[in-house]
Amino acid sequence: MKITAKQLNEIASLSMLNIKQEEIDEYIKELDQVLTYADNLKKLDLDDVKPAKHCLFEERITREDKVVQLRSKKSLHNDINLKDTFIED
Amino acid sequence: MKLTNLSIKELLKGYKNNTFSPSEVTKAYLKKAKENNQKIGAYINITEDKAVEDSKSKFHSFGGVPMAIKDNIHVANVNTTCASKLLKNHKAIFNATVIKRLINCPVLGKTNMDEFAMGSSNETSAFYPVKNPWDLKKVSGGSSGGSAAAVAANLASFALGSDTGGSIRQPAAFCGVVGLRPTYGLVSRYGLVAVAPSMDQIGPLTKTVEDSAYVLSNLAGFDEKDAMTASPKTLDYTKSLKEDIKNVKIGLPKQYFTDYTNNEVRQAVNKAIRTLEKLGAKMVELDLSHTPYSVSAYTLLCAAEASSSLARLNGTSCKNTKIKGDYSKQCVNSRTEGFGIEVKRRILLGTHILNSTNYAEYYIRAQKVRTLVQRDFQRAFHSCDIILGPTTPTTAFPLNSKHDPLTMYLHDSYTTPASLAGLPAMSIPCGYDSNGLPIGLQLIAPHFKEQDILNVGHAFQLDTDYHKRKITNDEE
Repeated sequence: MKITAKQLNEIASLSMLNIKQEEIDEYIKELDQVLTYADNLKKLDLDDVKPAKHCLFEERITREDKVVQLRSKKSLHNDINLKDTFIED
Repeated sequence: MKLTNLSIKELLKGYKNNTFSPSEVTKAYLKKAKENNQKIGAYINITEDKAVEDSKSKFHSFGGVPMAIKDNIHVANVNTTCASKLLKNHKAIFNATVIKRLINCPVLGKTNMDEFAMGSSNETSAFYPVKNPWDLKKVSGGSSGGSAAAVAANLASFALGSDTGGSIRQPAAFCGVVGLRPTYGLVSRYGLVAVAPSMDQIGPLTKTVEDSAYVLSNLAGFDEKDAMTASPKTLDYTKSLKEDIKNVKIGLPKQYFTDYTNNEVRQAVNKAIRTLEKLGAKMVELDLSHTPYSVSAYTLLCAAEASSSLARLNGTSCKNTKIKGDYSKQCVNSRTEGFGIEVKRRILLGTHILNSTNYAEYYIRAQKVRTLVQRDFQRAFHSCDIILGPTTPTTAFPLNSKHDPLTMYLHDSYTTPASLAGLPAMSIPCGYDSNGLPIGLQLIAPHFKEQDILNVGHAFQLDTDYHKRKITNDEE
């Protein structure tokens, strides 16, 4: 059994649902059936697979997040208040 | 001339030539819908006054075409029930973006569906099931069964549905109409009651592929109210509709042609393949090896997202709370009384797998499988332009014949992979079984390549007449 009556009642409480006593067995049977079927996913080797984040293949293209040395003189040559590689207030 | 038999293209031509008016067409559809709805159950609510009023308004290029809207899409000042007791009195206060984009089309009514779009047979509706217009003892498919049946029985010129795991394509296949699930992000979901937001998409159900192109051209495009919408380059799918499909490479995944598929369905699909070869298309064998795992992954992910999406529904704003008590008790009672058994089952399953103990075992594993399914398609599209297969393993099954949920879920075996990958996919009629029930052919394309499947579908329909067959008891 994948799920017990106690677990079902806990889930129902989290889901803001009441489960009648006479419904418990039926729910357990059906959820058990689905979860058992879902065990077929365990056949796959997923160790090196990343979970999907989005269903479009295109990833947002972003640069690597690392500190780079600004080519300061070139990039700041229009600024007249330079002191070393800093801008003076 | 039967006004309700005309395609969108024929209606627009008639309006242009003043052969008939939108008001006449709308009245013809309303008359037919009212006469047949008790028999078929396609509509939850026929909005006669609104439709008549809408048909009087002036329109430009695309308008005056009477449409039916699935009852999980908001139409301002009309009830959005999602076929649930919980929302039976819930009136929408705004138009969904798709309704705004089709504002010149009269709304005939809200169509029946599986409760909160959870189901594959349209039997989970809290009101009444939808019957298949081809055989009233059979299901219409689901969850957009009302939309598919309305179009098939000529109770609407076209209809909008929503597709999470096949909810447009599967009923389209069962009812012999064209059902298109667009690329995830092509059509705005603003104003759609969410089930599984990472997969939900609104799309058209139409009489022909060309009609589908007309509707999609008006629906597609960026919407600032839905952050997931993209801005594709082509938006007029009718202008780019081609009849020539020479040298189009069509992939045939071996997983879609197993013994699991009913023999008559396989024969019809094979015949369609020969037709497309005759038209110049080239067939390529494919291996989509993770297809057999799609239903499991989809079931888990859909349940997880649904349990989260429906958590907001507490009954307090739905005017149907009977039991007085403290707030949390009232929520529990409203949800317990308001939700049907399938919805409760999926909420419980979703809550269970999102539990910290089970999260990695079920949810994360399913997301990893989703990655593998996406990769399968990515690889496949290196060797073909589109993918072809049956939409469903069988034709429409008898009402009340499937009693365990798993059997029902497995019916979506061929539709869930495209949903997991966010791909555009379309079902078109490609034959009939020995009982006269329609068979659907599914075409899948890469992201935002709707034009490719529309072209192939259009070429197929120009060469065949499966989409022209009429329901025998369809009388004006």
